[in-house]
Amino acid sequence: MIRFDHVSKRYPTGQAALRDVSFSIEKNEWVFITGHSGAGKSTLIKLIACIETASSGVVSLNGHGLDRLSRTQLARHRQNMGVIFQHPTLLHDQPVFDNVALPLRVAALSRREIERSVLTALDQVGLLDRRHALPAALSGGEQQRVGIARAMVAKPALILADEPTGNLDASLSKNMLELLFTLHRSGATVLLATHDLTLIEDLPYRRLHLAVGLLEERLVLKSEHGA
Amino acid sequence: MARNAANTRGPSSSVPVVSLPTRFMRFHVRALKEAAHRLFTTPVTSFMTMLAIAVALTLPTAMDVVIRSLSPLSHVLQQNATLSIFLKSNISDDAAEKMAERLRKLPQVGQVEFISAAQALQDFKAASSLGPALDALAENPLPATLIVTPSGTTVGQHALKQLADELSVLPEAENVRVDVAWIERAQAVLRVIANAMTALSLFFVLTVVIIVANTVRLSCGLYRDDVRIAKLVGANDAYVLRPFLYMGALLGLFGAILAIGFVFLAVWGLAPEVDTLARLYNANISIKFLGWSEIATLLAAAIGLGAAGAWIAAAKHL
Repeated sequence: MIRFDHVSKRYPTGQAALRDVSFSIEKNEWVFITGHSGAGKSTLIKLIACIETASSGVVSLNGHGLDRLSRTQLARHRQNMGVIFQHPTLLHDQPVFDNVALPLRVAALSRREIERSVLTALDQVGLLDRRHALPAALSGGEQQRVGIARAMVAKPALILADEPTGNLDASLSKNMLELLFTLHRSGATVLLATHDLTLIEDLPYRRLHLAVGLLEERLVLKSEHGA
Repeated sequence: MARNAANTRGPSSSVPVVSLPTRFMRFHVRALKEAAHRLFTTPVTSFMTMLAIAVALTLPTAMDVVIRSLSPLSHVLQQNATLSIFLKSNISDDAAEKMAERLRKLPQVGQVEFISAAQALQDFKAASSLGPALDALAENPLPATLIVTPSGTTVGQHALKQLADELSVLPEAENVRVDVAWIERAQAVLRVIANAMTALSLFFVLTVVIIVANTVRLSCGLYRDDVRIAKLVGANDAYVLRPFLYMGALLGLFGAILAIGFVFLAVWGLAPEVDTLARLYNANISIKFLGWSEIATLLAAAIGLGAAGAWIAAAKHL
């Protein structure tokens, strides 16, 4: 499904975030991307989300280079993808409900369909009673959960999660992982970037470890949670 | 081929596929609501922009109303054109009266007034301070004159000159003069005003586009994060552009509605002056407010200009 061929990314500042990275991820696979802060995990996620472009090499999805997508195809690519950011990017002048509803509005769903899906997603992340609150009134953890709900609400084929549990306590982190497992079991491909090895140490999934932009494949185990 | 790369949804995705007409309608209704919401969240800025648009639209619209209302005046001026036939000195008053009768039967002629040489001298004495000097003259130097007013079908310089040529060959006529110079001047002034208004209208059209573009440009800055986040979750260019276009269209629409109100006030204020002018020229002129089709045209033009201005500003920020 996703393939990196000798991908390097160097930012205009001269910082090399990724160096000659190659790997592939199959459909409905769950992959952890690990590494210390600054190792290039976020850059890797951004390349797949087409927020950044590779300096060299090719990032492809289903055999087609993401750098060649037209603007319309890029929009469609993103509609089929849910991205959870390390720092949630929310609309601060709109309540939680509208933030979560955004992907469904982009998909032109009816008000009733949007309401049903958003309330379900908010219930899953434990924010149903906070649906009318503005993001500024939420804690960092709650904002992160709004971001998770928004990424999941359209049930995308691909979930990209960049430190999704960074602002959550241990109990909530496990709950959020459970939600992602649910999506994974129903067919979604999941890439989860984290530096928190304790969170994933017992989880038998493939890990791609980044060390200062270089990739090391640590282990590949058959998923116990997979479909 | 690349379409497939970006067209896979989760196998168990519960997001239903929406038909094209439904998508179209929902997108436009949401964009319109979003645009109204954005205008409402900055009411002072929005109102000031509408006011500026209204002012820009009021002047050309009001001038158009005035020029259209006064256009019959041009016809009236034409009808007021006269020809003076100065008769030879040997033509008696009786012969002149008979000639006047003959001329009245011509289809190109409306009215004929005979002014005898004695009457002309009397009128000249009354109108000037040369009375004693004129009394000292041995004989009356002024000729008898026929003042010919063309008929309603004889309108325009060419027709008047043709009639003058025909009359000048009459044996009784010494000289024929067409009194159209002042009419030509008046019509030239009206033409200059009309052309100036056309040029000015183009300038005001540009002004409306610039006003809307500037407001939408500021709004683009205000909603930069919304655009970025919407695109991150899959919004295409049209999706993020649409609310800005509706915003421009709404600014244009409400600006035009205000302009119509201002024009109404202007017409109401000018009506007595136009009535006075009409009485002066004995013309059936009255200032007329915009008709329904003109109001519809103005609204449509303002909406179009607003959307165009918004597009110019917003397309750059996508």
